[in-house]
Amino acid sequence: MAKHHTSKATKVMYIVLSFILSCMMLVLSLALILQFTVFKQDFVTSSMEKVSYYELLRAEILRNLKDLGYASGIDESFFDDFLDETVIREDMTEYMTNFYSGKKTVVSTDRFKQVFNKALDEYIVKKSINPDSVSKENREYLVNQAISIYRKSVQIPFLSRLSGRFMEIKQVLPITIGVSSVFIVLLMIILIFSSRWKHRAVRYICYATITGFIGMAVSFIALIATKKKRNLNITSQAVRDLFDHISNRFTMTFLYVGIFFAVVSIALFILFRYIYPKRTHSHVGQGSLEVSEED
Amino acid sequence: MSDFNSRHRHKHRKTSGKGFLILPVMFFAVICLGIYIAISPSLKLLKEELGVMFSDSAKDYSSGEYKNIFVPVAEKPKEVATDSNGKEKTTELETIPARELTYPAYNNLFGELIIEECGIDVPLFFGDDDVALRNGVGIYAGSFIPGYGGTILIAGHNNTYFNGLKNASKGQMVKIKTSYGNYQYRINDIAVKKATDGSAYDLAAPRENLIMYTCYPFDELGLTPWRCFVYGEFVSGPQVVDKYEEDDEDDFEDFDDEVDDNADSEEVE
Repeated sequence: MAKHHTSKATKVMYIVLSFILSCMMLVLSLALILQFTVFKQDFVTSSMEKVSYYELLRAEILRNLKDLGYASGIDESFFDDFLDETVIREDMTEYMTNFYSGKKTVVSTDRFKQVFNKALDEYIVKKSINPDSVSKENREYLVNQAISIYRKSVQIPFLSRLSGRFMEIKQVLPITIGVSSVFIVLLMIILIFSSRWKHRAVRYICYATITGFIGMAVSFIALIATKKKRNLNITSQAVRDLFDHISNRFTMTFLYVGIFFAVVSIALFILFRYIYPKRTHSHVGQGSLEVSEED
Repeated sequence: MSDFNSRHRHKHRKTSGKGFLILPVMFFAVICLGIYIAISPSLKLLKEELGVMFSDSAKDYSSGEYKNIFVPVAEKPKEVATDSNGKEKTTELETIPARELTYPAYNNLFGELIIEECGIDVPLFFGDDDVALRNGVGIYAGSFIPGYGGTILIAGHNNTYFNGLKNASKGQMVKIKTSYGNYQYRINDIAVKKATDGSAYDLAAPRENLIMYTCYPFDELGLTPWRCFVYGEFVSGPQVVDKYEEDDEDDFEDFDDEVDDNADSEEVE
């Protein structure tokens, strides 16, 4: 009777350990997904390249500058070859680096100002406008408005709003990954070496990996099914495309991690089935009764 | 031995695989519950944050910049009524019930503005943002549209659609065509004022009037703080009336008459 109680207690202890292992695996998976997706600058910049972000952004900036041109006497032709993509690329890279390093998210406009002033001077010469007839104040006002349009276009909406929380999570992520990894290894060691029946350890580890699979699968389905992400409050088509691309890649990562958990779970289940009969048959007549009670 | 066999079979039934599904599902349910309990205090805040980032409907980028709701209406021949002595009678203003017209949404192209003497014939938008001024001239959404008896404040770029305003002079007629009627205004004043000058327009004016403005000086390179304001007085066009309010007022008057009649009859009794 006492042995029966001990057996029950052992079983409960293993279930609790397996549950903690499940939690740790989910925490580690989520932390790794975040660390290698949205919290990695390369992930975002590679998405920018894939959706031709700079090209789209240049078109949007030029369209807004043309509007400014209508109000300030500049022909549309002024903007035909204006603003090279490399200027936007350099300023965007600097902006993103500042954001990911926790610095103030300010768009550098020095390069743009230089390019705009140079183009304006060339335009004045080309149109045979007397430079003295252009009011210094009006020109400065125009340049400042153009800089403002450029700055607003390069800035990614909501990024500065999210930067505080973003940095908090970014700082915690490596610690979370480290701590949960150590816990997972420790729990596995405890499960494997606390019992002389290794199939039991395999089974409880398998429970945890299956939970991991369910977690990833549910997250993937939830992210796919949510319609709200299509309603992002953004007027820029370029930012919208970038968000869609990042969102899709992020969602797919859950699928990949889920597949990993599924493969590991199947492998563990096969291993369990492989070990389990051997154990029982090898102990027939010796400890078979003990095995059946404990299991 | 038979006892051992039965235990042995029983044990194999237990390892059929059901446990491999039930326990993980239970684990996951408990984890979800834990997460929900953990974030529930800040759930409202989270919803508010998401509410700022996401709207209720998806923005359609595939459609054009604006919607055109302008369907020109034919100008009615002016009927001149005369009294018994053959003199011209003052006729009441033509009215349109508000419910019969479609009030334009922001960035809707809903009309046309024409000043023949200035060579201006441009699309008229509701709203004066970049989309409107890129494609025509726009009515400031905080002012009135024609027919509502208030100030109509219209903006346009001086190098494009409102370039012709440099030729504006007093007495010229401004035509505004909409889907619910055609309006005419007479230019009665022109002034150059600072963009920040609040006295340049009165949005609370109790009469229908037109104000068109653009950057000044014309054809100059650069942005200027000066604006050229062209003012117009109402000449003709149907007035929009809220039919429901009119009906309600009539009903109230009828009700008051009935009450008075009843009171009189009671007094007589």
